[in-house]
This record gives sequence, structure tokens and C-alpha cells, in this order.
Amino acid sequence: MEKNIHHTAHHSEHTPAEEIAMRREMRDDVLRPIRHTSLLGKLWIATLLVVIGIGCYAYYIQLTNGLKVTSLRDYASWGLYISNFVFFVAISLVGALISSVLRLTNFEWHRPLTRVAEIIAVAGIMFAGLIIIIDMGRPERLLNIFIHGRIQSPIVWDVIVVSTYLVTSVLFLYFPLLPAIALCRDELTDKPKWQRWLYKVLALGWDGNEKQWKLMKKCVSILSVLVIPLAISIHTVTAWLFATTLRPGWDSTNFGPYFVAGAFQAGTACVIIAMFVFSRAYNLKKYLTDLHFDRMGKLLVFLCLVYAYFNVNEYLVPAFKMREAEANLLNDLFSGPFSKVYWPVQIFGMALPAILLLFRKMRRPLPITIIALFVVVGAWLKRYLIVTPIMLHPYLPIQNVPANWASYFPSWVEISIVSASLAGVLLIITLFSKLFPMISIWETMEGEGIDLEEMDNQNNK
Amino acid sequence: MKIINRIKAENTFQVKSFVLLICFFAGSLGQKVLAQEESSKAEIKVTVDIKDSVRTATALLTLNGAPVKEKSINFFVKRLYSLQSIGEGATTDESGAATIDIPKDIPADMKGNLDVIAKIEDDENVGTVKGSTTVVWPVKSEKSGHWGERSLSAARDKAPFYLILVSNMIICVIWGTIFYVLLQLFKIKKHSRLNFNKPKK
Repeated sequence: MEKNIHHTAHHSEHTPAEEIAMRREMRDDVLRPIRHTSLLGKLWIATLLVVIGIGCYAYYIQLTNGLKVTSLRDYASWGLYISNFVFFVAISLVGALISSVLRLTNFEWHRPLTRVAEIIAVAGIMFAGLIIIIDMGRPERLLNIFIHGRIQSPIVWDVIVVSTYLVTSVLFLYFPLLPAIALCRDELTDKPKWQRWLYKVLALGWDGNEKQWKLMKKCVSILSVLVIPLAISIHTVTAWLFATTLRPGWDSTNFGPYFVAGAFQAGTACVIIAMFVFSRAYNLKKYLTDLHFDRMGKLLVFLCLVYAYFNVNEYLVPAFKMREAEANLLNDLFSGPFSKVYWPVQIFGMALPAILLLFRKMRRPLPITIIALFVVVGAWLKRYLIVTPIMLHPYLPIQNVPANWASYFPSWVEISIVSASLAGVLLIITLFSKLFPMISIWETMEGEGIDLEEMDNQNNK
Repeated sequence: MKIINRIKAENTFQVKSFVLLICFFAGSLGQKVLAQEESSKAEIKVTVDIKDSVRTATALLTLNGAPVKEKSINFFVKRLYSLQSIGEGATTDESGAATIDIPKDIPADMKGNLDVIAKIEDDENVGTVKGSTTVVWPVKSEKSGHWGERSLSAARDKAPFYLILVSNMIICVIWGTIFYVLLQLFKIKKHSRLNFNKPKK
């Protein structure tokens, strides 16, 4: 397949022989990263494992000594862990955006990106759930939510919606993957026994018959509709964890859409970075083309502008009134100790990317990936700014406590655990890409006007 | 004598499982020590008089059994977490008695018991003295009109019906769809024409 796939046509312009050759070539391309792992890839996995190992040790220290080994105290009781939780929930929304919204609105170019977006969503939401348990200090107390939980509590809503979104995202990843798993089962016969067993079990006996294709496509359609309200719910409920409290900076009716907009922006930037890495590391440039980077760049501009709009609402309106409690917080953000983070986040993480990506040259793979990196780092720091400064600005004054309780800087335990969770997300994505094809063959070829279902039916006759 | 035990949190050092508390004595010796000794013999007796619409509290202040005059006494009633001041206080007369009117609408607890407290704090002669009495009061506390009703702030078994209904409906629709989709996985497997158990020729 020499020419790039442009995913706009529905009708094939190729002869049947060309179609078979294209399918074979694409199979080889997507299976190549699974067949071989480079030294760099092995080093990458080893590095992630080391970071995770340090995080596990830090968690052991936290479990045995309690949360006193963190910098969390009475006032800053939500710190790095909860910031990270919000970030993970945010990036998990991109699965719904790329795989569902773009699918339902017939943006054909999304097709090779769906799997990248979905695995980011699954990995993000898995670690979002995990980091909440870590933040609890006493993990076994999670059971109390189920034993004593009140349906009136946003915490219970969050637990329900996180678990529901996780299950839906896994299914949304799994159904379109079935033909690919079957391909691995049939082609990768030289792999270890456990891996062949895994393919055999997960493929569910997929042989590409008409009924299986029909069932799979029906479920993908159902899930693509279901995942949208769930994705919006998960981040809205996460926003409500903050907005239902009486605190300056969180007491906002704007918080749900503000979080959702930020999540789409952060997730899109994550997908751009992942696209760049996979296209280079796995030599998938034929499928993740300049066109995809260009379109994702335009999408990111739009999302940065939407998020900027919500930021203006969130900061300008309270800043106009400057009520006492809000004023203390805003002054700290605008010109106080948090301003060193606040302004770079707003400028380099939101405003500049929106401006730079207006230029076509900046939407080429390398520049857009660098810009996306700034957006992701900015998005992570933004969650920190949403959580921590507010905790340190309660309505009642902080008094009769040690001076260091009035400020917060994470301890090495928190930093190690959060680093491990970030490494964990990357490890899941990496291992997934070493087990399954990162480009959906049938969806990509369907965009080319080649219906694999039809081809399979011909073969099965 | 005025004794202040101030425990400053920044002066609290934790050594393994022991906690060392450093206490500061902020009083002064001399006359105040004597006052403390004397005040230990000071006493307040509180009586409450309920006659129709007139309800008064009287505090009788004595020092070593002798009435003490011209001392300002403050009156309180006990509430759930702290003392609520009633009136502006009163000064003892020649017989050591100070009397105030108790507001008629002040509520007692749900059993009708009202704790009336009279207190002198940091007086140079009698120090800090407190007396109290419990009386049966005509005005009882009543449970809030909304107590036990279903609301967003109520216990889990008192959640509003609309919330239970709406949330369960949403959960059922979403999870119903998920289970339906899960069921399709079994169907996909069922429709497979592959037979892995077939012996290879």
C-alpha cells in the first residue's frame, strides 16, 4: 500500500486483487510491532517497571505508616493524588470523543485513531479508580461506600459512574478488536503458549462469518451511543465532587462543562502524542498520516478555544466581584505563590497552542506533538491548580495549627506513587500495543471503501 | 489565680510512640495563688423560680459560707455543644444573691430539662466559680418539622423518592444495555464455526 490512506471514500477504487493485497500488507504492518520488540522498546518497558517498583515501595511505606508520610493534612487533604485522579478521568474521555463522537458525526479520518484513543481511555480510567483507593489511606474502607453509601452523595455517584465507564470502555475497546485478536490467533503461532491461549480465549472463536460481523457492528454502534452520556457523566460527577462543596473556587455551576471541555482538550493532546510515538516506533506512518495530525491539530485548536471560554467564565466572573474569600484565592493564583504555575499553564498549555496550531506548519507531526506535550503537562498542572490552592483557602481562617499545614508540597511518597501511576498508564498502553494491533484493520479499510465483512463472507462461501 | 495551659502545636514533638507535651504556665504567683485558695471555698447555688409567666434564676454567691456582695454573675443555659448566655448578667446584693429573668421562650431539651448555669470568671477575690441546677421547664424542644423526612441531607434509608427512582432508572437502563452487549459476546462465540477441539489430521 504505497499511497496514504485518506479515509474519505466509501466506495473502493481498487480491484479485488488489490484489495486482498492491501489487506495482507496492512496485516503485516500492524502485526510487525507484535512480532518483534526492539531494544529501545525493552528499555522503555524496563524503565516503566522501575518507576512502578519505586511507587509500590512508596505505597508500602504509606500503608504501613499511614497518610502521615504524605504532605496531606487537615487543610490540604486533597493534593497530588486527587489532582492526578482528575487528570486520569480527563484523559479517559478522549475514547468517547474520537471513537464515538467522530464516528457518529461521520468524520471518516478518525478510523485509524480509535484504538489509540480507546486504550488511553481504558488505562486512564483504571488508574483513576486506583489512585482514589490510594488516596484513602485505608484501602479496605472502600467497602464502606457499598455498605454505608448514600445515594445522595456525589462520592457514591462517582464510584458508580467510574466503574460503569470502565466496563463500557473495555467493551468498546474489545468488540472492534475481535477480528484483530482472531488475526493474532491465526498468524502469531510462534508466540509463547500463554499468549496463544490468550488470543484463542479472547477471540471468541471469531471466524469472520456474517452473523459475527453483524453482532459485532451492532454492539459497536450501541456502545458508541452509550459511551457519550457516560463520558460526560463521569467528568461532570467528578466536577460535582468539587462543586457541591462550599468553597471559593469550586462553588460554581460552571464546573461540569468546564471539566468536560478541559478533558476533551487534554485527551486529544494525549492521542496526538501517542499517534506520533506509534507512527515512529512501530513504523505506522502509512496509517497515521500527516492528514491525521493536521485534523487533530484543528480539533485541538477548537477544544483549546472552548476550554479558554470556560476559563474566562471560571476566573473572570469571580475576579470581577472579588468577594473576600474568592479574592484571597484569585490573588494567590494571579499574583501570589501559585502564579508561577497559573500563568504558564494558561499561556503555554492553552492560549499559545490555540494560536500556533492555526498555522498549517505547526500541525505537522513533530511540531504538533511538541505543542501537545505542553498541553498535556499544562493539563496536569491545571488539575493541581484546581485542587490544591482551593484546599488552602477555606472560608474559616486557618489557625491554631502548625505553620506548615497552611501550605502544601507533595512528599516523596506522593510523588513516587503518582509517577508510578503515570508509568502504569503508559505500561498498559505499551503492553497492549505489544499484544494487539494498534490500528484497526477493518475500520481503516472500511474508510477506504473496502468492506472486510464482505471479503470474509466471500472467503467463507 | 489564673492558670493558662497553652499547648502550642508547633512545640509538640513526636518521638516514636511517645508524645511530649510542653505546657506553659502563664499565670503569676503571689496574690493570685491566695485567690485560688480562697476561691476553692467560694460557691454558687442556683435556684430557678417558675411562677406563671415570671421565670427567674437566682444565684447565691458565698465565700467560706458568707455572702459576697457586688460581684457580677453571668447566667447561661446549656445547649448541645456550648453554653448560651441569657440576659446581661446581674450583680449580687447584700445577701449575695443575683437574680435575672429567664426568657420564657427558651427551650429545654426534649424531656423538658433545662440546665441553668451561673458563673463568675477570673474574679480577684473568688476566682472562677460555677454553679448549676436542672429544672423541669415548660417549653420542651421539639424535633424539627423536617426531622426524619426524606431529603438530600438525610440518612441513606431516607433518600428522596425521586432520587432513588431516577438514579435506579438510569442505572438499570445503562447496565441493562451493558448486559445486553455482554450477552452478544456469548452469541458471537456461539456462532463460531471453528472447532478447536477437533483433532488435527
